[in-house]
Amino acid sequence: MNSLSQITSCLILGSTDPHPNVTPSVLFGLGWLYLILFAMNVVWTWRSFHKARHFRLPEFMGGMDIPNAALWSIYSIALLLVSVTHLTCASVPEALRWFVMPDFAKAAVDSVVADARIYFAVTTGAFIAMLALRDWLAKPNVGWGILNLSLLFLCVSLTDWDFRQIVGKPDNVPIVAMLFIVGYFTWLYFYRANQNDRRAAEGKVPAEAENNEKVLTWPDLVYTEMICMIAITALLILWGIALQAPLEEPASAVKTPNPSKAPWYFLGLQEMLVYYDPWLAGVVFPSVIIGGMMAIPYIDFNKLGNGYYTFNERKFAITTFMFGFLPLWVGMIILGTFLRGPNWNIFGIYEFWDVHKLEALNNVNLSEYFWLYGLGQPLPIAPADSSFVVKSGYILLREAPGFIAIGAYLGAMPMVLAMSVFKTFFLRMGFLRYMVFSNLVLMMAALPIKMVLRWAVNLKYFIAIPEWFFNV
Amino acid sequence: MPATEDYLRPLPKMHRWFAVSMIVLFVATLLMMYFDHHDEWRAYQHQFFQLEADKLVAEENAKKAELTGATLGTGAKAVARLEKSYEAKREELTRALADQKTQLNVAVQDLADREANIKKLDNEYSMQMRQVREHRAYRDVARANFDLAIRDQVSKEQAAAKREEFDLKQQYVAELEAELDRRDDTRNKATAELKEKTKDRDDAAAAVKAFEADILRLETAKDRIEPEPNSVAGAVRTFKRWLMEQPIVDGFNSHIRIQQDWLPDMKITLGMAKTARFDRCRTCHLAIDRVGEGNVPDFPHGDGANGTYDHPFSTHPRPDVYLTASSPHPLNDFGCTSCHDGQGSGTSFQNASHTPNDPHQAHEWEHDFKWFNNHFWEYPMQPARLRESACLKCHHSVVELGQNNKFGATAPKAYEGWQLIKKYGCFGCHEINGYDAGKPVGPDLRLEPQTPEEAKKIAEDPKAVAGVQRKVGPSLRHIASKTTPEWLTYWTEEPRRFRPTTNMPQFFNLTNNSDEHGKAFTKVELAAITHYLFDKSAQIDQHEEKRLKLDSSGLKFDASGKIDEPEQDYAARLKRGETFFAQKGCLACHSHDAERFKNTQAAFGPNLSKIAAKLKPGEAGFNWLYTWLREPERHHPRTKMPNLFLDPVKQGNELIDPAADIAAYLLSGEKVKYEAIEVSDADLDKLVEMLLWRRKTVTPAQATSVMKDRKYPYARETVKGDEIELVAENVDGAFSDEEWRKRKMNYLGRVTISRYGCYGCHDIPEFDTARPIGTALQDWGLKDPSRLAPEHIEEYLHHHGEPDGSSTKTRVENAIRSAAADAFDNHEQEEKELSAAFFYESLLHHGRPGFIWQKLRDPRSYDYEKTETKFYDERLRMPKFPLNEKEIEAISTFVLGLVARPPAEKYQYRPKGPELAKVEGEKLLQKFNCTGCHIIDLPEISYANKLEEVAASELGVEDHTEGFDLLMKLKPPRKALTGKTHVVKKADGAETLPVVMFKGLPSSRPNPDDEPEEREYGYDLWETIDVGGKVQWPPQRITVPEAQLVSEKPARGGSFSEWLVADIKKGDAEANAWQMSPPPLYQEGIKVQTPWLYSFLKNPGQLRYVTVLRMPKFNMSDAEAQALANYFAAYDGAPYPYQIVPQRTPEYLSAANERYHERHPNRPGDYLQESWRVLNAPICIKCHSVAGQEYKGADPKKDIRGPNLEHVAERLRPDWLMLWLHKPAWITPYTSMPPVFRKDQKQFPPLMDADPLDQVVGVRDALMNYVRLLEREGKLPLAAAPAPTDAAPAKGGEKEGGN
Repeated sequence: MNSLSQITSCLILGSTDPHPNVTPSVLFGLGWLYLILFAMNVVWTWRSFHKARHFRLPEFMGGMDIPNAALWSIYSIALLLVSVTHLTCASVPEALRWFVMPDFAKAAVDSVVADARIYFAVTTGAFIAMLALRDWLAKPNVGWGILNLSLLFLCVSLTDWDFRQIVGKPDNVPIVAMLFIVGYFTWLYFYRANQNDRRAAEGKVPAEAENNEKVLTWPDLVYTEMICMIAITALLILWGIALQAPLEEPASAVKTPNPSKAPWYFLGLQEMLVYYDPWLAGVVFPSVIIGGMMAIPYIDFNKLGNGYYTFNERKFAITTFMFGFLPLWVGMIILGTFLRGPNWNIFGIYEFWDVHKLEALNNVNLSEYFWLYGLGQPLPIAPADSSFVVKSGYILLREAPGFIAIGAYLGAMPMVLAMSVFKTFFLRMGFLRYMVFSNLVLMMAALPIKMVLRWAVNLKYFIAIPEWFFNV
Repeated sequence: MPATEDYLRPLPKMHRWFAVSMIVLFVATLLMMYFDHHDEWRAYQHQFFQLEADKLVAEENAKKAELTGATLGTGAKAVARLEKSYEAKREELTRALADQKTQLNVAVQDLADREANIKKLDNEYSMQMRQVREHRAYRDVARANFDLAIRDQVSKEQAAAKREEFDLKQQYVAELEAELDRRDDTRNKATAELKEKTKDRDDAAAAVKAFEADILRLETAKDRIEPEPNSVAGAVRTFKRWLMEQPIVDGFNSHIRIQQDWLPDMKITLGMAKTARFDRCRTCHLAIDRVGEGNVPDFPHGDGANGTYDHPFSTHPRPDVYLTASSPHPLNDFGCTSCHDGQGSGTSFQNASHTPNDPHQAHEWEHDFKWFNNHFWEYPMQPARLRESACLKCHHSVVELGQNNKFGATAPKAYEGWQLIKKYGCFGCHEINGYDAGKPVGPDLRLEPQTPEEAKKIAEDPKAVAGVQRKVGPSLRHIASKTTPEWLTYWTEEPRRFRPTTNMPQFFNLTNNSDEHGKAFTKVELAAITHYLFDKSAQIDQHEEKRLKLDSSGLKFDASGKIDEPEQDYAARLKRGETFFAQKGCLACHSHDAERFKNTQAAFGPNLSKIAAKLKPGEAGFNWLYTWLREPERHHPRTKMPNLFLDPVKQGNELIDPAADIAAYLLSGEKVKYEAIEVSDADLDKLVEMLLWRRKTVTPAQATSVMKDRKYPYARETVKGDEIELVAENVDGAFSDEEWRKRKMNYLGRVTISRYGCYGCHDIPEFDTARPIGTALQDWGLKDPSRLAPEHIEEYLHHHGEPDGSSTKTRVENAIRSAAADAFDNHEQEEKELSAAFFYESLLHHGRPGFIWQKLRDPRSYDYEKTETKFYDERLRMPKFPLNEKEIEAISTFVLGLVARPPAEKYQYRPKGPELAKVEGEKLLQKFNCTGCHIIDLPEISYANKLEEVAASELGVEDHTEGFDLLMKLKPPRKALTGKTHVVKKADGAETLPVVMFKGLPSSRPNPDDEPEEREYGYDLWETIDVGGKVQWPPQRITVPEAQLVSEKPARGGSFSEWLVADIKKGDAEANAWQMSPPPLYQEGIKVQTPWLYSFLKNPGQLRYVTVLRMPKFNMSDAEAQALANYFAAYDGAPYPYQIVPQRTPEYLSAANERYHERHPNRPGDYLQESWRVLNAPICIKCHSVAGQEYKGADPKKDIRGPNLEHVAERLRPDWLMLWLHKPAWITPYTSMPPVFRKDQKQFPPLMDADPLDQVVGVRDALMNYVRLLEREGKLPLAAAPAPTDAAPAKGGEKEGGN
């Protein structure tokens, strides 16, 4: 059934559709959302008007200067019209057919996000594009434009029942907010860093260094903090009133919810569990992450960028951190929150969470690849009544490819890197520091590598020794 | 740079931000408090208090109207008028009081003096009292001192001194007390005098007080809830009440508060933990347990108009059953959610998990209460239509929910579901085990043990409880001797094609096997089933070695004997066969389409119209049926068909063989030849090959070679499963064509039978130990919905789903639309359509109710578009049962109640004693269809009548008062006024009359040609009733004009006897039709002795000679016969299982002997001897065989042969017998037996000096000592002729009985 026929069917009295895409109340609510968007843009237009910036039309369009404010005001008026249409025509949804997410667009979006490979490629690509286009992105009008686009996307998407279920779940509301908050602070960073980088290019000191006057703890710090505390308390109370605690069924060991999700801040870890064994994903990696962060000051030899925003002076450090934080942490949280559905399958954001959806899980261990596929012979198995030592020997033989691969990755790879891309690092850090650093980087890279291998060749484990509960 | 005194941000700005943030926080806090305080339930409580106040005001007004005789109108004006008349009346009374006061003052001048005097006397009295008390204390000290002196063993003198001291004090106290009495007397006299004088005034004052009392009470009650601030006190109370409702203050025992029922023992299972239950339902349902006198709801449920109250303000219905302390479900023990489910701790409409009864209501709730389906709560409230399922948590025996002589049917739907499951034998495939490790967890419906070994194992295991259900279908062990293979195939394919009323479900030609594949394989399967059954069918005499009868359980596992045939050259007569068929009781269970039997509806056994087309043609079929009729157990040891004693009898020279006649009659119908089904060998091979490897016994490759080589790859000893059919005894050589085909057919037949579970209902060779094939249902009511497979049912119902192929979705959408527009034709239609809408909606949400609904409607529809991706043997197999949607709802109600989570034992209904006997007996009444023949409870007739027109019964001249006293003892009058009223419309206007209910048999129906006002119903009263003080007893004819008849509830059971009576009368209008038919078992408990009933049930001998049929012998175990015997006694409150007959004890007999000699000093012999002579007097012998003498009926038409008297001593209870001898018509209005020893007649002198009362008692005692007397006194010479008597002829009773 396409969206439009669903629009009309939901309004027929006696409709038994359990998952209506649009209902009058949804459309009415959207009207308010568009109205808020309109108000935001009125403020922005007002700001643009005061900044009085222009942009030049291309020559074939006349080549004249148009004030930015003019564009924003047109856009704002359009928003107002959309809002009014929604508020007045909520019960005549045919009139609003252009503001409903069309099915082909849903299918297109779902085909991107519901495939982990594409999802990961797109996020990584977006990450690279963000770094490359940072100058352009950091412009306030561009930032504002992106915010508007994302909000419009949200509004249009809300006309889908499944999307509403995921986004509107009280647990998930903060994650939606987090997307915008993370986006804003990332943008803010680039805005400031660009400024300083430009200043550095012009030979000026960073903006922070120019205004480094010290201030008083009271009132400048504590008073401000207290006001923030009070405001946040009020916000939390209001939030608590508006969105009630999402109480679910009583806990039962025999009947767990499907999907069973960790709290949002652990969803990155939970995603790692898909690729690595619990002892690694749940114990070793978190410890390494914490230990690694503690080690950063001792590893870091770059004295630049202290106390001010910059990108150019710390390209490697910032890129590495951002890659770890944005695609590998925030991205995983988004994946876990919005895309992981029943049976931990990946669902599109407009896709119904059907427990009957199946995904083939034909994962293969590295040892199986080596022995079965590569050499065409069975896995080495110890004779039935052999001793523990013999058995262990066979197991180690069986998993030798994995041990060699891991050994090479963590042992030989740093050397190779030291001789190639990390040459200067090796020279400036010394052996020990370099080894710690390179191993940390390699461990971080182990996650995307395993993910890619899983998606690409169904790799299950590098080393699979279920006999000892040791899988990598 | 060092810090400066300049701040980063200007302080005034910071302060402003601070102020703003504080204001925001303050507002947020206020909002929090507002939302916290703004609970739904507070509004409900306010509303309820308002309603309660209104109700009190209404009551007050009604009271005022009653007091003043004014009319109770509505509206402010009427209230003002009422108020006025009340005030007027009150003023009148007050004025009268004032008058009296004035008069008194005038009349009694010295009133004040007298009052002053009384005051003075009062004072003097109390002064005296003080003195008395003081000196009593001194005296007590003196006594104690004396006691102490004795304890210390002081000298005599000292003790005497102490004693003297006490005496002195005591004496003084006595004097003072005497004075006190005198003063009291004086004072009382003065008071009495004054009272005498002021009597009129006091009376007037009392009148005023009495007049005001109720009003004051109501006003106070109202004032408590809703004070009027029209006085200072009122204003204070109003303020206090207002204050107590404010936030925070309301935490201190406010009247607006959460009402909580704590049920520590009625645990609830939450996830992993069992915890005490908290029900806060009463927070909103405030009046739920408000019950007035006589268990009448204070706030009756209704739409809110006319003194009724809508939810949540109404009182629970049936307070006699629920919530009240005297009911079986008191609120304090059971709470609410133990029965209703829902979230008891929730205090809002949504949180309580209310469940709408249909989607239309859901839409209304969504709108009115912001309701949504909260799937997180595991126990949502049951919707009203499934409410009764909750009863099964505790009522595991179920029967009391539908048959209950105390409360009536309290859960008829769940009961009906249970009945249907028993009828269709669902437990053949779906085990419903009511026990978990020997502990009852729910209703138990399991098949009885199928083999001696299993029965023995269960009997030896103390924790195991055997099932009791028999397979519902006939045994197929000997099918070849009964019918033809062609018929069997025709039948199996679509049973209802042959017999539309059959209970057998349909397995073939359904939605998931009507495709090309399915059609081809279906044919093969049908042929294979038949092949297997006929191939394995045995002669009934071939099972000798397995014959077994377990003594205690009474289970018999195999048939025995041989096929019988009637005497050679016996010429069966069809007409006689038809009459026997009508009269021998066949129609109590079976129906027949012939014209004469059109009105019979019995469905306990199959309709027999087309038997001729079914049985084998010719003699074989006839002999089969003949044998079946003579002794059904020969063919089927577990059949419920009883042995009807259809033995051949010689009548004159002619031999009459009723079984042969009936068989001939039944086989006289149309004979049909059915075509054998054509089986394609290719399809057979294809199916067999697929099944071979699909069943994992061989690989696909092996399967192919099996088919090619005709050789199974494994040795016979190693084959455990159905493949045994394909394996030869020895492995040499392949099978011949014919043998291989037979083998394949048997294999396929066997596999098919086990796949479809045919053995769940039928006894089939080689399937003795097979287990049920379906999902067990004992906890299906809580089955995790995610484990149900709705498959493509939504799509199926979108496009199909209705019997005519139309869309169920459209039907449901129309239903919801019609409900919203209120466009249904009638309530029944609405209920039917909304029921479908409810289940459909549930199915869309993957709910259990929807799933089971569709599963029963169309079980194979879950295979919609699934067969394409399934192997043939994976297709769904549940057959389609002939159920309508109402029945489906009933079955769903029952199955959804199977949760296997019983509450603590004390909450479960575990009847003991008579209650248990009733439950067990009810089950057996149904199991053996006792109600097919016998009326168990008589029709209840309700009619409206003026009390003054009710005529009390009167004793006749022939009645002994002693007999009447016994009647009142055995059948104490039941209050017949129902308390209801009925408006009777007559030509001269309508009249509201009280309704009287009595039990009796209809004796005459109105002539439809009469004028409406002349139409009358006639009834024979069967019980003793008290109609507003007037006692009526049988025999009494009650005539009810049509206009006054309120209702006639049909008898429970006995529709066959009613039909038979009518049928006999058609043939012979004068016949004693009722006496020729199975007797009603009304109050059988007080009549017969339990041990006799037990042995009679086990082996019924001939009792009556007048009946056209005999009590058959049922295939009943000892335990069942005991239970049934106990049932009747328990039902009527008579003692069981053993009875003492005092008339046989030496104490009684010697006392009776003494009395006899005293009263009859001139009579010879002893008491019993004389009694024996009375019994042998020429009266009883007229109808009964007595003491070795054949009965001597003079006129066979009038003198009906009664039961032989030899059984009386064992059979009848003495009191009942006594009453019967006094006047049989008191018990059975239609009986032919007259009162024999009438009070107004002296008979058989000199026996007992012709004292009729002594003769009655004597005959009773002689009957009770029958065997002893027959031994001692022997056969007495028959008296020459009956003594002259004026007694009413034998026909007398009949006349009164009115048949």
